[in-house]
Amino acid sequence: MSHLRYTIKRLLQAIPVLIGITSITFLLINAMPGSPVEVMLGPTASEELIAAAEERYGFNQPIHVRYVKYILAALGGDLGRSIHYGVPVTTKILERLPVTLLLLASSFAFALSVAIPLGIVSARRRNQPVDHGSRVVSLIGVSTPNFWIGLLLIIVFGYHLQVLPSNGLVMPLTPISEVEGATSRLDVLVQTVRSLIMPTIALGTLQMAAVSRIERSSMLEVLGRDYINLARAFGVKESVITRKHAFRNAQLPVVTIIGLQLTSALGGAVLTETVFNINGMGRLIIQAVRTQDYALIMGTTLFFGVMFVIGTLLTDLTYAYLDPRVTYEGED
Amino acid sequence: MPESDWQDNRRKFLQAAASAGLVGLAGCTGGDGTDTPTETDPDSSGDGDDDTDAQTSTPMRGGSLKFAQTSSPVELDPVNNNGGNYSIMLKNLVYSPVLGYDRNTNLVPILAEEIPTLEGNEFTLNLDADATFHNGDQVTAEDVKYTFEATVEEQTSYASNFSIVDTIEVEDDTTAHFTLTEPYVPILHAIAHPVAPKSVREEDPEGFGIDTFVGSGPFEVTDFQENEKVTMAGWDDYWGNGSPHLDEVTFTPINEPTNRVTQLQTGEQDVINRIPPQFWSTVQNMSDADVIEGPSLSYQFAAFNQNEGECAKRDVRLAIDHCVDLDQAIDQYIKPGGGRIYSPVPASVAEAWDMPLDEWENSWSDKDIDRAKELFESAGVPDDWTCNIIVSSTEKRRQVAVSIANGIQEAGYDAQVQYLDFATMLDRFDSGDASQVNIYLLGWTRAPEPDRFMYELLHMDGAFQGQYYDNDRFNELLAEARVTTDRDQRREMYIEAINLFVEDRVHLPLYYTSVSMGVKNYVQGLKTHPVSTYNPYLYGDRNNTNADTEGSNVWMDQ
Repeated sequence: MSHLRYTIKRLLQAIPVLIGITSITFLLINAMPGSPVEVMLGPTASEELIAAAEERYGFNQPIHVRYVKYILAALGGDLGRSIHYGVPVTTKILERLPVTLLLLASSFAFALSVAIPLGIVSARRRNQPVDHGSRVVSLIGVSTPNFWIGLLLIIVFGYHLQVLPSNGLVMPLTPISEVEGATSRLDVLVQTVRSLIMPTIALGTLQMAAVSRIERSSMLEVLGRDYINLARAFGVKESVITRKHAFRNAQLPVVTIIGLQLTSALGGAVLTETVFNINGMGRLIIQAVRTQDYALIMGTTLFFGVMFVIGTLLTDLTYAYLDPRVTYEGED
Repeated sequence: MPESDWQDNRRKFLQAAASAGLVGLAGCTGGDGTDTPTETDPDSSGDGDDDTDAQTSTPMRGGSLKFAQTSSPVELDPVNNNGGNYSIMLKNLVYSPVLGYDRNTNLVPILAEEIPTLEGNEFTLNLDADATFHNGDQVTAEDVKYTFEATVEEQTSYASNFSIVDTIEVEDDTTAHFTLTEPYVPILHAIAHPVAPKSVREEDPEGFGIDTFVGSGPFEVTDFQENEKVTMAGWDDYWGNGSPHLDEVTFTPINEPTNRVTQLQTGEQDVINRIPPQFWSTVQNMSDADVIEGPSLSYQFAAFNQNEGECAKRDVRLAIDHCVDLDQAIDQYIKPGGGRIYSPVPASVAEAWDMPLDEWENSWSDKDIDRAKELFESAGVPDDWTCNIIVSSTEKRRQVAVSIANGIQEAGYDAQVQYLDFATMLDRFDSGDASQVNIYLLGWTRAPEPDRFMYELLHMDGAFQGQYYDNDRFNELLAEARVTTDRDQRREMYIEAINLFVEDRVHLPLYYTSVSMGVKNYVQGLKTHPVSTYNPYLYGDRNNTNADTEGSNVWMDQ
């Protein structure tokens, strides 16, 4: 099966996954006590007022009718209207999406640029001090919640040392006039980098630690294989062995874990955005749940589901790139 | 780098790293930042006056104030209420209400010429002819009618405030005649509501308060970015007395308390709202900042389910009052952040109504487990009784709930505390089902009017009652008080009702929470206002009668 056919097949397989996500989410939010109308109108609203508002927003219809209507509208790109914000859900998602994508990209760049060299060095210097140090760092990274790391960074670099901003994220394309102290685009970019440093470390540390551990163990496994020993017997330099013969073959498990980390990073973004007051998708979903904004909860959950599907698809496709022996014939 | 610099920096870094561990620990264990506000000892009468009395310089015009809110406003529309208190705080600066509150919680006229007098179910409202909107248009009776009626027509959360209004007849530009469906004295608190310009809002109701902002308050919105910032400029042509000293105010939502305190420390914010207890001393120890605080109109309580079950017996409720040392619990878990409360009406309202607070303070029981056991026994409580206590996720309430449960267990009965999310709590507290709830802990914040605290919470027909205290005399008093226009007569009715409330232990009143802010020293004249949505109280002299003798006009001494 060609990559294209495989991609199309996987995309089609994603449809029932997404329907499953929407069904479960729809059922769960409707099982929540109270209703968005009650939240909106407050505890002292009369029953007549609540009934009128429920009719206005369509909450008086049976759940299956509402669900079918939602799915049909969603297929047409209409994710409904946020009862809290009073605007279409897609507008809100598109407004917040770039912020979260920048944060995710930045945290993955940080995680991979630190974790892969760390894992390789750790594997090559097995049981030496650098390996012990790397494992301790990984262990701490894996076991420390990202909001905790964020708070510590704020206290050290924001409160005491006062070298990094702790609030918000300056987007690179923000108008210069809206960025305090900026007189040129370069100033804005500098502010972007400065405001990204702490959230990136807070969000990326878990990914860094997880990837580093997998990189180390995978490299250790590959470096112990016969063909590597053969290369050593032929007198090939260790650096060449690592770079040319071991590195690529060791990346399959790493790619798997990176794909899985995408979902945990999305979850981590919720906390990181809250701690650093970043106006992204994470805070949007929290607001949606707090206000029982059904349309917004559905929209953001569906979006997170799509991100997950894309993440796993990219992981699978990357396999084939890294290892030409991987085929998808068995999928037929 | 010179050796000394390196050592200084190294020392600074190590100090930072060490304190990070401690403060970070506090930051993670001490609350969520969306919890109840903070405060100090109520005996210290810390209402912010100390800060303002200390000012020595002459107020100066100019300056830009940066204020950190805990959450973002969603819209600034007087008809809608999607953003809750975080929106109302800003609306109170941009829009003038018909009536307002001074710092003693008394009603004062703002857009109104004077406080209307109710005659049966009717009253006439006269507006100040000088009042204008930011666009220069006069604030008219038609604008008032439009705003109030729109809340009902558009089914917003303000609708319940105005649904009792039958008709509003506009007699001329400055006069409107209100007819209610039935006599209702607290209507005056409902019309303490901001007014939108009809001609502007009608053009684009959905965009008003999000894209378009035309009010009649002392500040004008110049930039509104939800979840980012809101910027306002002091309105030079303000129609009331004087105008704000401040040129500009920027509101930034910062939910995380560690982040708010950091922003105050670094000078990125001049004032931060809500200081969690664990950061109280941190802010006080800042060389260039301090905490101001004052009580809010919040009433936190433990209510007994008297519909059925053991708590329907007065002796059981009295026994539970004897089981817990609430003074100690409040000292331990609430301060700094609030203080003990003894009646369902907040202290500032009770004082304004000259109610016998001292008498009520002494009416609650001291902890006496032996006496509690006697009362449980005389009430015939079975040995295997389990007291079901439900509480929402607010950390402070949870801790007080655990204190009550511990006391009941000390008296020989089982007690379990269930933590519920707020929506589930709202679904269950008024079930009246003793197998689900014997005691529930909730909080209530309303306008400074006894009816707002008592009828809705305690009357059998109240929208938020869940204790089912079915005392005919009590219900009669609350119903009568809301249709009686004579304030002295109302006062007597409320005192009698609260005496019954205390005697029958309908609730255990627990604590109030405080309005608290971290303020840079160069911010002068900032006081707290007991109506929490009036904070930051940047400009309080806005009524043309000067009734608000304790008004404020914040300025920057730099």
